[in-house]
Amino acid sequence: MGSERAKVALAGARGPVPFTTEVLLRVHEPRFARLDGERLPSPESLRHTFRTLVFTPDRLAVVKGGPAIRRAYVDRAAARLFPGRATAASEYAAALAQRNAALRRAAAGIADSGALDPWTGAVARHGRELVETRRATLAALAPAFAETAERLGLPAASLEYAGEPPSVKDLERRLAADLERGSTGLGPHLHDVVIAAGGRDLRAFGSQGEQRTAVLALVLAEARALEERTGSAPLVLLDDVLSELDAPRRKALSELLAAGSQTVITATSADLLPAEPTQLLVVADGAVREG
Amino acid sequence: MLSPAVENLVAQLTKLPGIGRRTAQRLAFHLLSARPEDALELARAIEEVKTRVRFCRTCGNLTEEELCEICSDPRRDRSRICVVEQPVDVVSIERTGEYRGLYHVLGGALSPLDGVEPADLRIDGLLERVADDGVEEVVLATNPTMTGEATASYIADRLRGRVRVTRLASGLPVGGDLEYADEVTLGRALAGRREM
Repeated sequence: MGSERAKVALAGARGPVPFTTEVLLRVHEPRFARLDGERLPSPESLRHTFRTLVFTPDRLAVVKGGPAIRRAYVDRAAARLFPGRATAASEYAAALAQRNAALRRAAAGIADSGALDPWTGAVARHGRELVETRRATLAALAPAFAETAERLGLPAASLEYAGEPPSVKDLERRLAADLERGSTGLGPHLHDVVIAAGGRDLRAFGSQGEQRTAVLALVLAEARALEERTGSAPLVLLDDVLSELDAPRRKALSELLAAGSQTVITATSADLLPAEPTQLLVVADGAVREG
Repeated sequence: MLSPAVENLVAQLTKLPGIGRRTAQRLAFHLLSARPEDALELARAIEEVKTRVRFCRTCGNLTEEELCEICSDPRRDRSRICVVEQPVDVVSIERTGEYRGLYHVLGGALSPLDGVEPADLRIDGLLERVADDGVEEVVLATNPTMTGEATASYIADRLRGRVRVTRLASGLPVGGDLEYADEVTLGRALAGRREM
């Protein structure tokens, strides 16, 4: 606190290969990161080098919040699972912004409505790609999600994409309404993902406990899907997840974790830990010590 | 700090693309310490280019005459027109030595967000050329970006049924290693793979 600079340094191994990495934080200057001593073009590129998944209490919004949060979550998961399609969401957003601008200009009489055609085509094309990418992402997550949720006491859990790709014909049919609103009223920017259990939409009809379990199951399902697709498991951080789980669920969680990757768990008490940790760090009285 | 004249030069240089204030200052000091004739030669070159260079009446390429060198070259194949966004793209395609047809320079790409509509580009001129000149093929070589693709599809729609319309392929850079290709380019190349 009150210091001009800080450094976070880590040493680890990817498979058999050891690495070191550090992030430097300085007042009034951009952060920068090194990997094995070499400066990275941006600290963000660490994200691509190391796949990490995080569960924090505020992730509850993925189940509980509005559709935009779920769309953003699926798009991030898609970029991790299918790096070749990482730009699907941003390309669709760019096409949509152009079409909306063209709508407003046509409505204001600055341009004729023929100028809209290429953007209607672009929204349809990129919309179809984005919907396909999101569906593929959910298909990759759904089996592990259902299994993980079941082990954590939430049976018959499912992920379903709600929305159809917009066709040129559909878009043209509602052109009058779009011109009036000055924005496109159809497409994946308005879609949702239904996270359900036993056919019940957990957003509206799930208890806080079920919603929490669903988010945790999503994180663990993605860890497994990533491991299956890439052969290496991501680093998982579970922040303050244990206090809300009862003893049988904590036990189930420990079994799910043992199967997979390296996991960092924070908890208010060591007694809550679901398994004997490989390394235990105790934070108390402003100091960190090996427990 | 600087004298008003130097300050003005720095401000003018900062307007150039890719030039920040620091680079502008370096350039300004370089010009100040250069021989007067060299600095004035630069000023003259800028003046000359602005007074003498204009757009080719037919294709929109840069020229000092009524018609550009390519349009007035009788050896060029007049049955093909390659459509590009900017004059610099003509230079790139000419470097390949593979293309002997004519060009059409649009002067940009459609982008309603930036206020660029079909009427702001030389699209009508292209349609007229296709109608008049016995053109058999139009090669759409706009950039493989969101705006370039939309521009290509707008033009393709307008030419449909009148002439053969083709689009440049996108894929991997030749002579490069797969290792260095980004995921998106490689993914596209994979999707557009060919039978051998």
